[in-house]
Amino acid sequence: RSTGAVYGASSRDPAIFTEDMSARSVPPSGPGRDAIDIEAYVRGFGRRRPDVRIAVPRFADVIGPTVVTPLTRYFALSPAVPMVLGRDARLQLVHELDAVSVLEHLALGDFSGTVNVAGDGAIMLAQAIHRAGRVPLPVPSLALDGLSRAVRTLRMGGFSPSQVKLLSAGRMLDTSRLRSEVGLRLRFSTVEAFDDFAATLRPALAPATVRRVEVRIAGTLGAVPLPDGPMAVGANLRSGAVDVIDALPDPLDLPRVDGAAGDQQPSSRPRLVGITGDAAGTPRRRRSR
Amino acid sequence: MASTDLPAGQRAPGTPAPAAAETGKSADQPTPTQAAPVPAVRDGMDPIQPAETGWKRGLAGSLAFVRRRMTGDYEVDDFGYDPDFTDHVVEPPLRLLYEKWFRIEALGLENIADTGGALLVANHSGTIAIDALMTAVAVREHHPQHRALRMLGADLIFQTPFLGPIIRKTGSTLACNPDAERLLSCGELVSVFPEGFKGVGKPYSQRYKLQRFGRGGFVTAALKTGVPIIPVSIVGAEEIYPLIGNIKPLARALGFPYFPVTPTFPLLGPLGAIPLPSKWIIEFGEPIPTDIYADNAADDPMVVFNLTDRVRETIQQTLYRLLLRRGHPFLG
Repeated sequence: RSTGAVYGASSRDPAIFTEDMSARSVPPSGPGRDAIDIEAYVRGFGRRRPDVRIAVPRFADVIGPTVVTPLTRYFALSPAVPMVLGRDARLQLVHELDAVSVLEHLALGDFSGTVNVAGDGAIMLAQAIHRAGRVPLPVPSLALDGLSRAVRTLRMGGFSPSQVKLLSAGRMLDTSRLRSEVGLRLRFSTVEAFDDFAATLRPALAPATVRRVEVRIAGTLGAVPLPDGPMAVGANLRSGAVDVIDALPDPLDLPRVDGAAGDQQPSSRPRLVGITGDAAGTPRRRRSR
Repeated sequence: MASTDLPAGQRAPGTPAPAAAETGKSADQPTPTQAAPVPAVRDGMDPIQPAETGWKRGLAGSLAFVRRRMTGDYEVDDFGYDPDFTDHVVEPPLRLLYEKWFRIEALGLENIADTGGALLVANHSGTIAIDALMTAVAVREHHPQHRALRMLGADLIFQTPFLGPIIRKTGSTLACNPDAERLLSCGELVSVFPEGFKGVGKPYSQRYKLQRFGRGGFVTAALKTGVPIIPVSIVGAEEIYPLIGNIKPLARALGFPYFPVTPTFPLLGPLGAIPLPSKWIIEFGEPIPTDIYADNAADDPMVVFNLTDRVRETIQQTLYRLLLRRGHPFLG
């Protein structure tokens, strides 16, 4: 199990990484560096033992209602979450259930090679903090590339400099190989995965409060507030996909990531083996009033 | 006080807004007597309630925008393009510059197809990359389909704090081949400025003489994806900050490609940052098709150089023609 951190994260990187790209700014230490080294060892092993099938999934950050990672601890800070002043990173996340299902599929299947694993779509860091009901707190990083100082300033503890870099620069993974060669479609997009996780948090700034304030200000000044709900957005660019309208049926008609029993009903969640505290239900939609 | 909360959910586009009385407002609020005709809905925008007067409509829109920001209720594409932010925060001041300050005339917009990718190649000038922003505003505002233009920028812009994320939210991304090819194959309009820093930083005496066009990477991207190349000529950007000098040691110290000296800039301090109101003309030329070449033409240097030269010549000739048409740079 490898990580998308092998690609590094910097403002000089291409927007989306495919599996054959390597890091433009090689991370000097931390999980990214370790993963690069381990991947090299695994490749060497593969050359020596051609009879062994090797699959290397590079995961984006895993998130969900039950996992505990530095990222989930970061978003659980309340009521203000620090972020680097002047930067807003694109994050791509994979839901914990999808992660487990991918591992299962790769272990039991016959794919060999490297594959990026990440949910569709992106979420900006400030957007994620807002969706979790917190307030982003921009903190200046004291030196231009003094990321270690930024870690101390942000007091994030448990974050390596490469993870801080991820939160200030952002990185997206291209998942077309996951869809075409491995034949999997993840159930949760990045935003859905994040919302599922955010549902377990207690919001410091609830959407209902924001709406009430908006309506009150509009009323005081004599204007009619616009209706609630997100703005309809036009064409949305997804990594590797060309279809613009989500309502169109998927032409590839790939099997959804399913549980061990292999049933095809879209409403049943895959069964997690060995992980306690399963959360209920289908992918959560954003709560809106 | 009666609740002024409207029912949740979107109103279907095209239905006129309910009368203000329905929302239970106080008696001194005048009820609109007739609904203004519903304005055409631009791709990606909410239908604006026609019954409101101008500033109230703007206020409601701004409040709704702030609410969407605070609850994170917006969508971002894989490159970081945030249409909500771009349309509500970045566009309005740029539109003001476009219409009132530079009085830009956009010609040849019919050369941009309604759908499908195209690579817009333009000359670059003006010390800072306002011409790129103005081109994007021209396409977004005046093209019949209001298409979004994705700009390719240098890495210096994306490293800058504050400006980097904002530029990314407008849909721009790094000027590298993988990104360019991905955007083009997804059918987006991509604009590229091959002169780069040599173009924006050229001295005033060299205005409207095209600098070297790089190694033709943009042509390779267009050839690989088979999209047409549209040469764009921008007249007027050279005069906004006439560059009469360059303080190299200061530029090196700050990490800039050049430190500009204009008649106003270091002398008047921040006031020197106001661009001079020259008259602009932006012309979009005839598209040059690239799908007529063989599949591996992108690897053939001769094809790439010839195509680059052809684009460069077209832009240069159009620049001369537009200069004649414009006449005086400021009063034209």
